[in-house]
Amino acid sequence: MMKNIITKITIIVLLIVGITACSDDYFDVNTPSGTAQPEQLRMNDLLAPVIHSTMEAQRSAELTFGNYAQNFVSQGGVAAGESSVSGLWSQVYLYILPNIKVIKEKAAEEGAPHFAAVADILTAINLGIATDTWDNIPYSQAALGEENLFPAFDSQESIYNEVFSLLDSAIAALQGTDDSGITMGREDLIYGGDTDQWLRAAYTLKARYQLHLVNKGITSANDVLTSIASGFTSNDDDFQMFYDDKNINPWYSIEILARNTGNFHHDIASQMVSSMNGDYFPFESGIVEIDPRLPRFAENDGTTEWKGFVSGGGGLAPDGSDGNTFFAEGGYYTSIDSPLLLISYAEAMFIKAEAAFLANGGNTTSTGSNSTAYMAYLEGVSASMGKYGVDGSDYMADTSVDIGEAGLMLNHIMKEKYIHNFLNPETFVDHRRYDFSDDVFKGLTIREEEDSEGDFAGEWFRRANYPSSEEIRNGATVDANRQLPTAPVWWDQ
Amino acid sequence: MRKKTTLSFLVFFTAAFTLLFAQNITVSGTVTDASSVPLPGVNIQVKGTTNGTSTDFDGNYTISAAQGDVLIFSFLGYTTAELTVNGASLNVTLEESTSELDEVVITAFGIKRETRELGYSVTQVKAEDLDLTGQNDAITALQGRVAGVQISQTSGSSGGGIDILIRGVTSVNPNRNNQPLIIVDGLALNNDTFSGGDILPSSGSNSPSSAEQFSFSNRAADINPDDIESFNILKGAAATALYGVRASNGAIIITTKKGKDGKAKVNFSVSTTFRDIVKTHDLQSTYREGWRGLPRTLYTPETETGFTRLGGTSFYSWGPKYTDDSATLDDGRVIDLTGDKFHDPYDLFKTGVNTQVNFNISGANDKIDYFFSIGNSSEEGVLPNTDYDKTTLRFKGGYKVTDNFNINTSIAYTNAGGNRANGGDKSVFSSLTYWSGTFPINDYQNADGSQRNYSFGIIDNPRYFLEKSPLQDDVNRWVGNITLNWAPKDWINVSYAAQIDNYSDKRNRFIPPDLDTGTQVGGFIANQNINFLALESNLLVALTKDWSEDFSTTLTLGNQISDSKRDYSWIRGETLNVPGINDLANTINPFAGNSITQLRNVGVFGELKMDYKNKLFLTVTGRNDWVSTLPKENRSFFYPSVSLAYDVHDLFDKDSEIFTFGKLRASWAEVGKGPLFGQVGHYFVADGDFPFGGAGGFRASTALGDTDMIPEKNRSTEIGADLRFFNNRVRLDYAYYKTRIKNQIFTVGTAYSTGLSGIHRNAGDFETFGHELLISADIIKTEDFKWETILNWSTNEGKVISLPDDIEALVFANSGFAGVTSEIRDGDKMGTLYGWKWLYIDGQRYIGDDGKPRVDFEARQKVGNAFPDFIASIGNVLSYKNFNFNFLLEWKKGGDLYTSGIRNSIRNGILKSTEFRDVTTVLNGVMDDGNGGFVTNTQEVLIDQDYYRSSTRYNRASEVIVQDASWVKLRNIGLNYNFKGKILEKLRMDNMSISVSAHNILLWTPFEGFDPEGNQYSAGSNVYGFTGLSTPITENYSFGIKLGF
Repeated sequence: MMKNIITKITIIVLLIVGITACSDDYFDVNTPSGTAQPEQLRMNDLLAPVIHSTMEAQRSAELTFGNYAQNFVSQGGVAAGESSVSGLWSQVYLYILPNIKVIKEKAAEEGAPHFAAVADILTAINLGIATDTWDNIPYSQAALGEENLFPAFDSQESIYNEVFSLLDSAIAALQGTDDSGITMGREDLIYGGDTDQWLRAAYTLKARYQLHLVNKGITSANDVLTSIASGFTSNDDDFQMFYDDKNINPWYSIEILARNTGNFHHDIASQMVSSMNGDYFPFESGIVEIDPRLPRFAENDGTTEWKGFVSGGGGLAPDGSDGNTFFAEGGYYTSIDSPLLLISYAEAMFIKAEAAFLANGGNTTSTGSNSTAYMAYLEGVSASMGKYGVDGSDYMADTSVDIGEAGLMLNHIMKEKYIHNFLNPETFVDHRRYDFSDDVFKGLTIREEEDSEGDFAGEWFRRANYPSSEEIRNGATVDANRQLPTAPVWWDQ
Repeated sequence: MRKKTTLSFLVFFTAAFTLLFAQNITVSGTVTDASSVPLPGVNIQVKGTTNGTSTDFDGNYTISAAQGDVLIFSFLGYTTAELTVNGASLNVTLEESTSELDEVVITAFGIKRETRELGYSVTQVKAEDLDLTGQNDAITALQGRVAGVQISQTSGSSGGGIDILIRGVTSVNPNRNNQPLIIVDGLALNNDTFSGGDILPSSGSNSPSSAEQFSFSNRAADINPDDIESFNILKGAAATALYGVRASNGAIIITTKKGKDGKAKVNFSVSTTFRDIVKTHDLQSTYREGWRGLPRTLYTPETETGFTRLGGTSFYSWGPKYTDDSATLDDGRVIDLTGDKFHDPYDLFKTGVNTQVNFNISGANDKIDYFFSIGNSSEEGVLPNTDYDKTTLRFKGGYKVTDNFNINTSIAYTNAGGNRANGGDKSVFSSLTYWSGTFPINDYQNADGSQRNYSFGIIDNPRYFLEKSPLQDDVNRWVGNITLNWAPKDWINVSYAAQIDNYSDKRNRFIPPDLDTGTQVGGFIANQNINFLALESNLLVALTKDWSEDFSTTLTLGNQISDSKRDYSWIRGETLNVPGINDLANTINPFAGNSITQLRNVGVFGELKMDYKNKLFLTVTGRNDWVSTLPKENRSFFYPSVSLAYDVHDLFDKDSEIFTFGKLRASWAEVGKGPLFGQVGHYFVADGDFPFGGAGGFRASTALGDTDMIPEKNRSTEIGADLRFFNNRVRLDYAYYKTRIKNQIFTVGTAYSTGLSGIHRNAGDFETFGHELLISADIIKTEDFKWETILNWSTNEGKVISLPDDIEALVFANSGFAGVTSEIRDGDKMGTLYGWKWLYIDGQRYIGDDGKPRVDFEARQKVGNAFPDFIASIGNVLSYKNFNFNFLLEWKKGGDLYTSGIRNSIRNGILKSTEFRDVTTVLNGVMDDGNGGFVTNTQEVLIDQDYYRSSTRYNRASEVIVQDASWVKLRNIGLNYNFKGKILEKLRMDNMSISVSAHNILLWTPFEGFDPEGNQYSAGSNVYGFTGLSTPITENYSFGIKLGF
């Protein structure tokens, strides 16, 4: 009897072993959970992360550039040193370009030109900020995956050509029809699928990038004016993405939450505060104490005086006492549900004002311009006030602002643009375009060096280093393109 | 038909004739061991014939033999006996072999073999020879015991994992571990160190991965060390060939205790171990907190926040001397500093206490055997609010169903877990690398319970961090198995074993809003659930045949199936409602995720062992594996092995007392290995930042796996010799091995500009080789006094033979700005560290016109190697009457380490080396002579904070941040007293002993920092060469008592 049992057990065991070992799909357990193949996904499924990354990329660049441009200082008045802005690089190359490529392929397959146009605009934006950050960057050989493991970098000049060509083709596509029936909805985190707004955004961006090349002589101020004429028409067109209570605004978390809990954060730089509290541009009406936008950005210790932190000044304000101006809790950019803003109608007006000023023969020190420049300047200020939800009537009536066509200088336009573009990496471009001139950016002085590593003391940073991941894994290419962080990029030369 | 009849007749006739002629009788008897326990399976052979049999399960045999014939009784592990037949009954008692020559070791699948037969090296260590007192993880006790095996505690954290490397790293994939297979009683026991699933908030934390943050337990720690009988370490590919893929890094085979014949035996033991962190960084205690010689914060414990700030960032220790009574600030204020003094930041550490209690009861009769144990180890860590507790239960039993069929089963339960401190960046330990000794670290809390922190948030107070935010883990594990053994004939043995290994690991991490890591999301709680289930099935058929007296073979055929699945899910709640409540319901924003990892492996294998004249042994094996992680077409692969052992002793003077045994061995083996789970193909994944604004989103994974991937192939050759002298009192065992690993599978890090962060694929050709030498000697061997010395020496070196043209380097770890990486490039040795060095001109350090050296940023150079030149140990066991004294010294020669955090300590001026400041000196080196040449530097320079803080002059030079981590350690030293004789009788006890021991004491090393054995990463991370940011390794002192009834 025992033998029978043993035999039976043996047979059962052999059966189990045999069955499991023989079936072929027994081994098909190697697909990670929660994954999909591209053919299972629609363009709409891929769009939102690309947009999200595009906005986050700008913000991660601003963490460094906002310090360079003296929007803020690191806690303790610390000025940022050389940087590789690696967060921007990862976003652009790992998360944005590869997915845009898939969207573009799908758009071509499905004949959806409007979707393709949006993808092109997003590409242009990312190439634009990347080249302004690192000068030569990978593009024509980028995001090819296994096909090219050592992408060569393209010159900034060719990247700029690409930016313009992408924007032009997007403009052409958006002006045409789209019969695919494929529309964007919620996943368009910027415009909710409004292609007219995308079209105006494309023009505005084109103007922005044309303006970068005006001083280089590649484009003209009139080219800028032509583009901007088809650009944004109101604050409703602003290119921005809102956070909410769950996906909390990153500035809110790293500035307000961090500070409230005694953690590392940034404080407002004196360049920002002094441009807004009458130090650089004394208010003349006697009514205006400070720029009404200042409390939307910042708060102080409750005193009447607003003292920003000197960049690299060890925590001191320009007058030698302690700085007292911090990011505002509940501020426009620092509330839990604040937006990240990429480009706005008010900036469009300042672009227009600057271009008109230059087209009219103005330069960094000249006074007086034409009505196009002046009207655009005023419209920019007014739009900015509206944007930040403050009553700007007293401020705009103050003769330090309402200087008249004959009194308009470049530094007035650039001051307003500087203020309006708070926390926008575009300011770092503006600073470089005018060589950090204090004629154009009143009061701008180079960082002091307390508490920094002290390298490159006395020199402005003009670009970022290539990230170490690229340096290690694409070394020869990086070697061929590397320059000091103080070397100007192509358009800045 | 006719032929058959003729044949039958012939056979019958011959048999009858033989019987008649030899006048054979039937001899029967019982074979027992010295304690009268019957021995089953003893080989009995009539000398000079092929006539043989073996004993049954009760040790009985019958054999046909003639009067005057000599019967040979042989059995593994026993001295062979030769007895002459004199009558029909012959009972035999076999003596247990004392000579290690006939030592029986357990090889793959529990197959018992004599060491002399093996063509590869296997090391057996008996648990009774190890000092297991106070060890949470039994494998730790093997440190320094086995040549070629490097066992490292990754940290001094309670329950912290241990990393095991057998013959070094073979898979260079930085994400893959090279941990050996752990087999307990014939079946694999999962030894994962699961540190995946990073416990980070959705935004804002720059904290490193969990592997770096927490020293997780390796799951082999779930075995109770007290249950272990012995360890067998299978080192090379030939040894593990039968186990296949999973044992490609070697195997540690653990045999647990089993009930022995006789009355029930009860054993009881208790021990207490004290742990202390003794080796720390040397800190300067001359200069207080401050900047440029001026203070910035005063310690005023009576105030609300504990500090009075004078202005500026309070973080650094570049202030005035503690001996200064006052300082005048730039604004003219005169600050009284008379109350200042240095408070040692290492006051954070306390004495850890481990208490272990073990109880077991065991016994056996002729039908059943049983062993039951219960054990508890509970530990208070060396850091406040850290602990680890482990309770184990084990039952093991055997039942002899019939004479040729038995069943063995065991079931083990473990509950383990505790509170763990965090390490890595943004942690207890990174904060400690900055902490200024001006402020007592243990004054960590304000009256309202908030953090007291002199830096006001730049770093966290390490004590506060520990008290408020440990990571808790709670593991419940069941391992149950059954083994059926059936020997229907004396030449066939069938065994089948099946096991379920199941555990759940629940983890909880709580981060209040005021710690750096949690601040950006208002604090968070992460709950992780890891469910692991492994099923294993082994079928083995062994066929033995003695072809002649001189030649016999054993053929083993088998099938193995293993299926393991880890189901990991997590829920993270962010933004705490009430700052101090650790409950998900107290959070506002939930996030959740799940991932499943499943591995399946089926293997069929065979082994043919041939034995010629009991001195030439040839073993051939083959195994075919089917592995689920490989692409379908390449899923099945075969690999063979051959090994040969030859007893050369006969070639020499057989009766010589000088050279008493000699064996040469050689083996060649191949083994394959697949990639990690889910590494084939390219997928789109749900984006972690989504849903966002009501929209969902997918994105391309940044990693891609080659769909043409083929298995890695390791080809090893090993040669060795086992020589014994002076009646085996001096023993020498040597092995040399070389393993070539082709088609290495790893994630080739790609430049992000490719759109990918890495590609999993076959790449690279790698070779590893080493020497292992074991010499042991019974220096004194008398009745009362015994002294044995064991010396181990081993080397291992891995070398990259080639990397594909498109791979510049394989980076294991990157320190970021500091520039030090653990990476290998073409032609490099495994473990190479790269970094920046100072600029040298013809071997002389260049000094610039400011009197300071220059860090050369032209190219990162080789600055060290994480692996040692050799590891050696010398162990001594002395016993005199009731006393037993042992000690083990271990020497690691070479091996460099990058100390993470040391740069921070320098920049903040807390290290002893920065005490040399405010001094004008001339640095060694050469300077420009003004004519394009160089002369000895004569420029004076002021050494001040700017010198130390400069990353272009000083603190990124590897000369400063990479150090030689050679060491000599007294690994353990212990004294035992065994009560014997009357006192035991009086107490009616079988045995009683008391012991005192110390582990890991007396460390000699040039390394400045914590004990250099620690690793920044969790066990099994495959990253070596980085240290400094995990709980430092401790010195341990233990006291124990054992009682047996």
